[in-house]
Order: sequence, then C-alpha cells, then structure tokens
Amino acid sequence: MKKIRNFLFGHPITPFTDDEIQKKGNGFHYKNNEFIHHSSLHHKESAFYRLSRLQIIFILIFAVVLIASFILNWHTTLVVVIAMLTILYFSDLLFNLYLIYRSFSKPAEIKITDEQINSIKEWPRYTILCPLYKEWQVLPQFISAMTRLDYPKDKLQVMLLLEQDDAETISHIKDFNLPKYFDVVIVPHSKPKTKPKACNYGLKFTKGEYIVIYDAEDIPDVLQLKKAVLAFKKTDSRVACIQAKLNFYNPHQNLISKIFTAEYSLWFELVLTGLQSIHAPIPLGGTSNHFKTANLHKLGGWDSFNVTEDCDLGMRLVKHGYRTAIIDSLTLEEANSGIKNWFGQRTRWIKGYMQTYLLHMRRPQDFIRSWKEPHVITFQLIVGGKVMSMFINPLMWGITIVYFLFRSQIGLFIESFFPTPILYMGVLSLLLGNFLYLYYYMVGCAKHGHHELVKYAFLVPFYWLAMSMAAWAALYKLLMNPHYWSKTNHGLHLDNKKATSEAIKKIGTRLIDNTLIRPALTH
Amino acid sequence: MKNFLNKYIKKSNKETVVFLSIIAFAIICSVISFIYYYNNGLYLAYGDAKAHLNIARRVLFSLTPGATQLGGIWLPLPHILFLPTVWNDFMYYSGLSGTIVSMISFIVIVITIFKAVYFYTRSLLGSIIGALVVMLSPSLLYFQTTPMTEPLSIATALVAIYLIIKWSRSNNLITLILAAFLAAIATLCRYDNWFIVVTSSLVVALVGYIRNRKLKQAESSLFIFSSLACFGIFLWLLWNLVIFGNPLNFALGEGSASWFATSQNATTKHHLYLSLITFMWLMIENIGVLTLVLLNIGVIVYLLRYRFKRESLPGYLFLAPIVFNLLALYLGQSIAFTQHLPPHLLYNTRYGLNALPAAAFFIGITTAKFKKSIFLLVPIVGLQYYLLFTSPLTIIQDATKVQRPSEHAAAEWIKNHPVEGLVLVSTGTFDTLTFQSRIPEEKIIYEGSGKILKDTLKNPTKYATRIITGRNVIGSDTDPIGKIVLKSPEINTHYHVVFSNLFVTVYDRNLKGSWPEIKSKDQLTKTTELVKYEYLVKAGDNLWKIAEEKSGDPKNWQKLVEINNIQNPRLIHPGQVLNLNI
Repeated sequence: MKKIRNFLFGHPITPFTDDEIQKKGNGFHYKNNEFIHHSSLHHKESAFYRLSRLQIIFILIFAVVLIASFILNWHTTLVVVIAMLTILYFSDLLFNLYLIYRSFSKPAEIKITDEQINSIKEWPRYTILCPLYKEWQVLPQFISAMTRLDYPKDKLQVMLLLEQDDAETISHIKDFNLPKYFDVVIVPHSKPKTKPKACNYGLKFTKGEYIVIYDAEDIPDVLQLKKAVLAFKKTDSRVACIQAKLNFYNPHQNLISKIFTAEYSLWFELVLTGLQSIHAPIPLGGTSNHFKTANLHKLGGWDSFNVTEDCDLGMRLVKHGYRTAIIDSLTLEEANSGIKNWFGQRTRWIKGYMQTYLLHMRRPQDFIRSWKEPHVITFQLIVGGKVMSMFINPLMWGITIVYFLFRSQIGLFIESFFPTPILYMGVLSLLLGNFLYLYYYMVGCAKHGHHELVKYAFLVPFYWLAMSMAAWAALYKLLMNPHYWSKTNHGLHLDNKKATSEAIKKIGTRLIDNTLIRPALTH
Repeated sequence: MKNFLNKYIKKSNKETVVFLSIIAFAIICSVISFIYYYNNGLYLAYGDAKAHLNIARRVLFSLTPGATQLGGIWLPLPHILFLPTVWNDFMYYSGLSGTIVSMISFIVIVITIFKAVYFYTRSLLGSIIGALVVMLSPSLLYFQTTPMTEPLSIATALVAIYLIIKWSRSNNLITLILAAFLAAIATLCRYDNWFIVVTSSLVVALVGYIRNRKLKQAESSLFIFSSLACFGIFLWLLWNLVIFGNPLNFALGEGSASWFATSQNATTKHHLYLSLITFMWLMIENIGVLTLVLLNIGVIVYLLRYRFKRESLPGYLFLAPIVFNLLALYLGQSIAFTQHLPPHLLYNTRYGLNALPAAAFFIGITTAKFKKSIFLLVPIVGLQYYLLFTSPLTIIQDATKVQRPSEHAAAEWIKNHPVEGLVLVSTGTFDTLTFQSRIPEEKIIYEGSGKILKDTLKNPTKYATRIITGRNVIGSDTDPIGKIVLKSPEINTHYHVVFSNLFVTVYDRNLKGSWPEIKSKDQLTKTTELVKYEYLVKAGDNLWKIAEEKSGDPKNWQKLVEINNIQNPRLIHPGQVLNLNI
C-alpha cells in the first residue's frame, strides 16, 4: 500500500530540525537525500513535487475518461479534443491582440526624467545580487559595468554569488582589484543546484533596502538603480517589483542572435507593457528585477526548485496582491548566438513554465482576489497558453499541410473532424494568428528602433519550429530531471570581433575597464 | 454618451463645432438622397447591386451555405459586411442591408476629406469646401444609396491614405500600422485598391527615407506597412487557390474583369490616347467638366505650394485611383465606354467616380491657399453640380440602359406561381430574375451549388422540380446551365413548359398521373405574346422603319441603336428582338 502511494504521489518529506536549519540553512530530507534550498517557502508552494496529490488524481481521472471515450467513440472524442484546442488557440490569439492594443493605447511603463533624479539627494541602500557559475570569462565585463553604475558607492553592495564547486571562477576572482563595496559570497554546495538557491543564500547577507538581480553578462543602464528607487516612490504600495526592459548588445552577431533580439523586443516592448496595463501576472525577466527587500522576505524568497524562478515569483506576487511595473530603463544582455546553447536555454525556460503552471494550478483560487481582475484566466493564457501553443502549433500546421498534400484522398476525412464554427475558428487562428504573431515581431523591432531587424521576422516560423522542438525536450526533462538547471554559456560574443565592436558602440565605452584588473596578473 | 457630449461641449472651439456640423450635414444629405432614390426605385437599378446582395444572402441561406458562397471573383468584404442584416427579408429585398454600409462609408468619406485638407492647411474654409465637394456630388449621392461597393472601397482607401498623411508628420508607429490595416481592408473591397497599396508602399518607403536619410528606416517602414497591407491580397490569392484551384482565378476566371474585357473587345487596350480621352469623359460624366478643370488647377497649386516633401508626398496618393483606372483601360484589364466616343455606348461609366476624392481634396487645398478664390470656386462647382442634378445622371442611365421587360415578366410570373421543391437556374445570367422572383435561396440550384449542381445537370429529375433557362441580353446565348440541361433527354419526357417568352422559358416537372400535353418550343414561342416594348424583327425590316412605326418619329432609330447595343445599324436580322423602351 505504502509502495503504491509512494509510486503515485512521491515519497514523503522530512523537514530539517531547528538544529539543522541553524547549521545548514532551510532544507529537508527526501529518500536519503538532503536538499538545502535556503528559502522559507513551504514545499507545497515550491516546484519540488511536480504535482500535488489532488492534481495527480485529477489527471488520472481525466486520462481514464479520455481513453474510455476514445474507445467508445474515437471520432467524436477527437472532434471534441480538436475543438477544445482550437478554442484555446483562438482565445490566445484574441488575448495577444488585446495586449498589443493595450500596450499602444495605454502605455504603462514608468518613465523617470533626469530632473526627478537630480532632485533627490539621499539614496537608500541597494544590493545587487549576481549569481555566477562557470562564467569567469564575462567577469571583467560585469565588474566594469557595476563600477560604472551611477549610484552612491557607500550605499551600494554588489554581491557576487560563487558556487563552492566552481573552483575556476573562485580562483579568477582574485585577479581583480575589487572595490570594497563588492562582497564575494561562496554558496556552499548542496542540492538543488540552481540560480534561485544561490539568490536565496545571498538574500541572508543582503544589507540593502532594495535588491536587484543581474546576470553576469548584463550591462545595465547606469541610472537604472536610481530610476528604480524613484519608480517605487511614484507607484502605489502594491508594486513590489520593478522590471527593467532587457535587450541585447550583440544583436547582429548572427541569424540566431538577430531573431532572438526580435523576440526580446516584442516581449519587452509590447507584451509586458500590455500585461502591466491590465495588472496581469507578469512572468519576470530573470534579470534586472528590482524588489523591496522586506517584500521578498515576506514572500519567502525564490523557489529554489523552479528552473524559471522569475516566472514563478511573478505569479506569486500577484497571488499575494502585489503588482509588477515596467520601467523605461534598459539592461543589455548577450543575445544567445549558438544553436545548442539556445536550445538548452529554451528547453529550461519551457520546463520552468510548465513547473510554474502546474505549481500555481494547485491552488488557482488564490489568484482570485477580485472579479474585476481575472488573473486566474490571464494566468492560463500567459503561462499555460504560451506553452500549450508550442505543442498545438506544429499539430495545426501538420494537419494543414497533410490536408493540402493529400486533399483528394483524405480531404473529406480531415474535414469531418472540424464542425463549421470550429473550422472557421481554426482557419482564422492559423492564417491570421500566425501572421499576427509574425507581425508583432516586426512591430516590436520597429518600436525598439531595431529597424534593420524588421525583415528577419519572416524567418520567425523556423524559430517557432525550433521552439516546439524545445517544448518536447522540455516535457521529457520535466519528467526525467525536473530540477536540473541546464546552464547557458555566456561570453560567446567576446571571441567575435563584430559582436564586441557592436557592443562597444551600443554602451558607448569599452566593455572592460582595465584598471580593475590587477597589473601583476594581466600578463 | 453624456461624457462624450460634455467633452465636446467643453471643448467647443470653432474647429469641433464646424467638424460636427459637417458630419450632421453629411448625414442629412445622405438621408435625403436615400429617401429620394428609394421612392423612385432607382437605388437597385444596377444589376450588380442585386448580385452583391444575392451573394451575401447565399452565404447564410442556400443549398450549400457557408463562406464558399462568397465566390472568387468579387472581393469579399462588402458581402461580409452585409451579413449581419441580410438574413432579414426586409433588409435584403429592400437592399437596405447594403445601402447602410454605403451610407456609413459616405459619411466616412466626407470626414476624411475634411480632415485631410485641414491637416495640410489648418484652414476651416478649405476643409469645408473640400467636404462640400464630395458631399454634394450627385454621383456619390446616388451610389451611397445603392448596395454597390464603390462607397465602401473609396472610404477605406481614403482613411488609409489619411493615416499615412498623419504618420508622415507624427512618425507614430501605431498610426502606420492602422494605415496598413485599413489598406488591407481596402484591398478586400475592390481591385483598384491593390494599386493604391502598391503606390502607398512606395510613398511610405520614401517618407521613411526622407525622415533621416537612412535606408534602414525606409526598409523598416516599408516592411511594417506593406506586410500588413498586402496580407489581404495574400489571403485572397490563397482563397482562390483553395476553393478554385488557381490563385489567379479572380483575374483570369470566367466572369472576371479581364475575361469581360477580352470577351467584349476592349477598344482602349494599348491605345494610350483613347484610354486617356475615355477616362476623361468618364470623369466628366461623374464630377462634371468644370470640377475636372478645378481638380487640375488644384494639383498645380498643391505642387507649387508643397512640392515633394516628406509630409506632402502622401497627398499625391489621392491621384492614385485615377492613375489606376487609366492603366487598367490601357492594359485592357477593364473595359468602359462613353457615349461621346465610338461605339457610343454606356458601360462602366461609374469608374469616373474615382476622381471625386482627388477633386475635393485639391479644390479644398486651393481654397485654403487663395481664400478669395472661394468667390469663384463656389459658383463654379455650384453651377456644375446644379447642371448635373437637373439633367439625368449618366451613371443611372448606364444602370438602366438595358431594360429587360421579358425578364421582369418572367420574374413576376414565377413569383406568382411558386413550386414545391428545387429550382434550377443560372443566377450568373439571371441575377435580376432570381432577386425579383423571390424564390427562397435554399431552393435554388445554381452555379455555386457544387456537387448538387453536377448531379442535377447529369440527371435533372434527381433534384430539380423547376428549370429556368434562356438568355438575358439580346444577341447572347442561352445561359450556361440551360445549355447543358436542355440536351438531357429527360427534359422532354419528364418536364413540360409552363411559361415562356422570347427570353425566358420555365419548365416544371411532370406530376404523376397528370401528364400535360407536351408542346413543342416553336409552337410556344408563337403563341406567347410579345411583352410590351419588345419587337421581333421580320424580314425586310430596318431600324428607320421600326422607329417610325413604333414611336412615330423615324429619327429615333439612333436611340434604338444605343439601347440595343447594335454594332452595325444597317445589319439587323430577322428573329432578332429589339428593346423599344426608349
């Protein structure tokens, strides 16, 4: 009996005793393994288990009903399934159209002027968290970017979070003349090995009233911290997170980086601003999200088991009645330029979205705070719909292609699965939907000022195909290895002359400040 | 609504007051014109008007309802816009379901001209004059009471052009996107607008380039505009491919404009001068010669005042429809005749209406530039419009030139003698007849019935209780459906003639037990009385004699030539039927 229960619902968790917590930090035992996640988040609110008991039972019942009805009448069952998928696809189309419309009609991003910045004399303490893992190549660039930030240095704490088992980076850090507001923190080795765990560890040593996370390859707008402080002051107390816009310093490195840039332009210029305008749950962007430290403590920090902890935190904020605002300040990142690297990163993102979706569907009622703001529906579309459409898209295209190739043989057979209203909806989604998504990429590029990238939107369908493949890979990994963080390599741009010269042009100065590197060790 | 009003009352500066008054006045003009043409029945004079309504209705009610009924020749948007009301019998038979779309388009046209002139000149006077030139145009006032597609097509294209003008100054991305969207909508109304999209794309790229002399800016603007603006065209090609097996079916298929042009011998094809003169006459028929002269002066004024600058470039787009129609005539893609040039017929005279927005815009600009010219301009345009109003409109003559008394008589008879069961009829040939005879759409087997039509042609008894065949224009063949079905042996064994005149023959299925005497067709033709106003040519007849005999004045023979489309007046054949309704 116990065996069956463990097989179905997973083994039980034994939380750490107070002594253990004192010694090692927050964590628990599971099947002879020790997990230390360093956050006060209850495991029911974390993605440690993929599914809750109720969800497992529900899925089992659903599967049984589906199989039974398939055996009873497979044709009707398929008609119903296709109809449901089409309706979902169609509502996703309408929702996105609405978002883009909102982002133009009610631009919600917060703009801070120089005058507003100059009027403030006293600045609060600010902590920058930078989790680093096997990416010492970009360290000089990152340290340079941090020292260039326009913020009183006596109020700044830059925390470099290094992993205990990453000896290379730990040894390289000694090559630098680090200013004294830099703290180097070594995160003790433990399971799970993820970025959010490192952040949770760093949160313990945070002195700032505000906190922000930057990735090691980031180059933020020098005024971003000041703008964030002012943005928090300008908005009401419900705003717990300020998200800066992300874009790239090497968009033209190759075809992948070009389309990747187009995608980011669309996401940050149109989608996120649209989401903010309807106060929807916003999947945060991984880096450059600014918080009030007190709020983070209240929320229990990041979920160390989620591989897109940013997306999860965005949802959790809404469940607790908080909001996210977008600020008109840019952080430049390295656009992914390698196929394998891109695929790994995308697989992790989609896996994380799945984790997040399943996690927050354990208690969807928590989204419902007032019926005026139907977060529970927008959540379905933003997180669920986004993943689902990656699975449906190739299916729809497949059906279409097969239909036209073999119309004379099986045309009528395929038509029989689409009752008239569903057919119209499906055709509309397929033609108009695919065109509109492609067009959004163009608009995003134009809005950001990437004029030369507009035409590359025509290649986006191939990009979608790759995304769908990544979605299947993500599903496989979610089942096999849910908490594994596949690390994205950074610094690929540093070997590429074109990319570095472009990056230098974009930020207006050299990428690396040589005075920071100890003279004795430079040669 | 209250807030809206308050907002305007608070903001009651001169501009808004004038603007709202113009809208109010446009609505009044629209309604008066509607009442006038509705009462004299001329609003449904065009055969195409009925055909457009028919198409929309069949999408909802027919043997095989659905989107495929939109067909592949005429662009679909007007019919789609008719759908919300065309299900209603009153809205359908009165034509109102299409007229509403035209009337709204009329208001939009007036607003756009007003705003466009105001945008360039900041002159209320010029804007008012521009708006009045469109609003009081007799031709447009007629078309806005019909379910024809011209007003909608012009309105959508004008809004697209206006948004491009706005964008050229503001550089606002969303304005450009909206312009592209409207352009896409316009391409789904009339093919004229495909050309406008091409020229607009060029203008958008140029404006983008002039803005900061950067090619990538031009490229970006071009892609943003044209990928959306051309999406409607792409959809239409795809539709033609999927439903008709050829993406260019609309351009080459049976019933397309170029098909008509080749089958009817386009005189203007590859004759630049003749095309020019022809279109000039078409414009004169629609907007009047004086207005046309003022249009030319207006273009010169605009050119001298604004030249080719970033903001002034899009203004020239108002001329694009004129260029398109000229090109289409020259390339033989469309066909139009005027009474002033051989073969002295009226055909597609309405193409000249496309010059109206340009006339209004450029006359408005002229007024704004030379304020005093108003004392000259207003009387001239006023006189011109007065002359047009008081003489019969050429576009209406064009619509009513072919009187079809036989078809009307047949329609009347069918309406009064309905049958149970399905009716086989070529609606392509008999659009007026099917509309007037009020056969329920669900009972008609016609060109768009797909497999049912195929089966019926093979074996009429399978579905058809009644078969309507014949011809609708003098000199034309039997309709395409009749041609096939009359060869079927079943026609003689299972059907009998219940009605016949010189144009239309109606067959009904024999009922079991009552086999009426089968009359031969010749016998019937002789016994059927000629409908009033029709004349069967006998050996030895000539037009002079017929004119004298029937109207008392032999000089009327010229009119007979005109209304009967006679190519060579010396050559009429015994057995030919002439329309005498002169």
